[in-house]
Amino acid sequence: MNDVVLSCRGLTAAHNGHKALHDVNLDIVKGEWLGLIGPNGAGKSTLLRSITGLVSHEGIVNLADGRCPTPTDVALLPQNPVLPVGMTVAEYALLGRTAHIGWLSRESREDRQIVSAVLQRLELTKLTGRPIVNLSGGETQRVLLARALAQQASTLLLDEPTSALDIGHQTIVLELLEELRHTEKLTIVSAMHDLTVAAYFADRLALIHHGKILAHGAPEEVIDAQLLSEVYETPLTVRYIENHILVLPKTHIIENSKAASTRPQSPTNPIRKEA
Amino acid sequence: MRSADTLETETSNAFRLPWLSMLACLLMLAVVCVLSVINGAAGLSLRGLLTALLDLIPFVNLDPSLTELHHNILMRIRLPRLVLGLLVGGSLGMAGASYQGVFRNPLADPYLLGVSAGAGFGAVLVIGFGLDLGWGPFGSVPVAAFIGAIAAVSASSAIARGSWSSPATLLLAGVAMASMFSAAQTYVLQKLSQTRAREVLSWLFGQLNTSGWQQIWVLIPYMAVCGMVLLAHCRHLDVLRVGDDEARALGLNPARSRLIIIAAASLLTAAAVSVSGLIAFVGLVVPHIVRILVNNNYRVILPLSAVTGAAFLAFVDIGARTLVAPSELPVGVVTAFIGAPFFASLLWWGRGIRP
Repeated sequence: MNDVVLSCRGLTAAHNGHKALHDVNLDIVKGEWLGLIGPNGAGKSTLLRSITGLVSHEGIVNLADGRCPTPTDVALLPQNPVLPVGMTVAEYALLGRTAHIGWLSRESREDRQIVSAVLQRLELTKLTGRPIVNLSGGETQRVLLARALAQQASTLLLDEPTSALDIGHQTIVLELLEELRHTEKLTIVSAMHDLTVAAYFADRLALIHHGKILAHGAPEEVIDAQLLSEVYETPLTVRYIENHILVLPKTHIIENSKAASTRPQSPTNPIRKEA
Repeated sequence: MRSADTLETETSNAFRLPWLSMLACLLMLAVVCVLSVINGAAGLSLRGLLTALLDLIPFVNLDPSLTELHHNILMRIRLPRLVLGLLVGGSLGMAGASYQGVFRNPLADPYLLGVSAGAGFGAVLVIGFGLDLGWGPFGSVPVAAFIGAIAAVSASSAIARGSWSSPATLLLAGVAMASMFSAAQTYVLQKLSQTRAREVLSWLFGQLNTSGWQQIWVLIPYMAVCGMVLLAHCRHLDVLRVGDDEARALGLNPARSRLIIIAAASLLTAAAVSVSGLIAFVGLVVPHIVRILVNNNYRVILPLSAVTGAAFLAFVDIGARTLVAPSELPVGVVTAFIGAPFFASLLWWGRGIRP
């Protein structure tokens, strides 16, 4: 493989007593955006947490040089981060420096400068003194990113980074990630629920089901209507719009409205898409 | 493009410490110290106090304006008692803040893991059965209380073995141990004669009695070491606020931090309790007062809890000595009488409590 930054071999892990990962083999390539998709409870979070070392596991998780990943190599953005009451944006971002500071030492001037440079980079300078609990969802996500960037790890692991955001903020955050991936030379692994969004942003997808990787490769290879319908246990259909993959539920309403898309739609009577 | 200068100013703005509030706390401490020394059964003049203190500095010779008697009162009674109050108050304030941080619980106080019940049990045994455990400048009661306190905390930690990463187990083990030790203490207390029981009770309510400087010379380095360990770990308390999982992902070993912080805070509390009895309220409430008044960063909370705890206890002790002069009130009673309404008013007018 070319430029593998992190590889998992025979990764097996348990979560709450039952096996959440079975013999997972996965290579993460430098600079790629790898999307982890799969139904709830498939093992996406456990995989991310095993790579970070938060879950005890069997098998091997190695960096390119054979070391186990540490917080200076991989930064995890949890799905439901704890936002301490009263902590300011700057203090929260500074937590990202923890792994760089000795056990008994305090953060140095350099640590603080790295943090404020990151805050500047993410346009959070105006918010530095604000308590994080008072921020909006999109701002909170940017502050989390700031903490991860302050960690200066070359690989970001994101667990459902945009599940709490509306489509506008979701797009802003994901575009920011895409931009950072190039400017900061990051590798991104993210668990994602929205298959269309995952296919749009990720270079490569890995479909996880019952703790196993069922398929991995380019989005067009993994996003297969039949495979996804089986995995998600609901009929799905895959469409292409200008080479972008669109995954839709295959229900009667959608089927019937196939013709409707050619009909001019009255703005006062929009077609409801929810099944 | 932003210049390096803007980055510099932005950095300092983002991580500005509340110097003004910190100075105000130190000033308050200084005022309380002076008030505490000049107030008492025999009033001392401020000028006399200053000349006497300046005279202590080597190569400074001033004509003492205090009488020999007042000078002795100052040096042998007032100052040792003030210093003891500062040490105990500071220790309790700092230990309370550390416990609240480590357990991520606003209700945590330094007596959480059974320190108070263990110390009380030790004291009851010694007073009740007249055992002689005296060591150095310390009488039997402080030594027994210290041993009891350490025994209770060790028992709590032993029961919750290996669960330094789940504070709830440790907390519940502490509750179990505290109940057991207080039951034992009550049982022994019941068996004692009235006079001895009264002696035990007055110890339990907390008091700042000291016979001169010897105890203090032993306590200062001991408490200083524990305090330094806690101050060195206050960054860890901030990291622990995001929870053990995230702390680990950020590169901190939460169990190890928690073990060290709890050990240092417990040693600090045990020493404070052994010389002063059970002074309630300070350890629980002082950190909250600091949080409401200043901010929520443990690098600020920890040292300021020590300063505020010291000032608070020294201030309250003035009341304990003078309110019903010539006799004394147990300082633990006065802390609650003065502290509770103050805290309640902060809660009423302020922004509510934050863990």
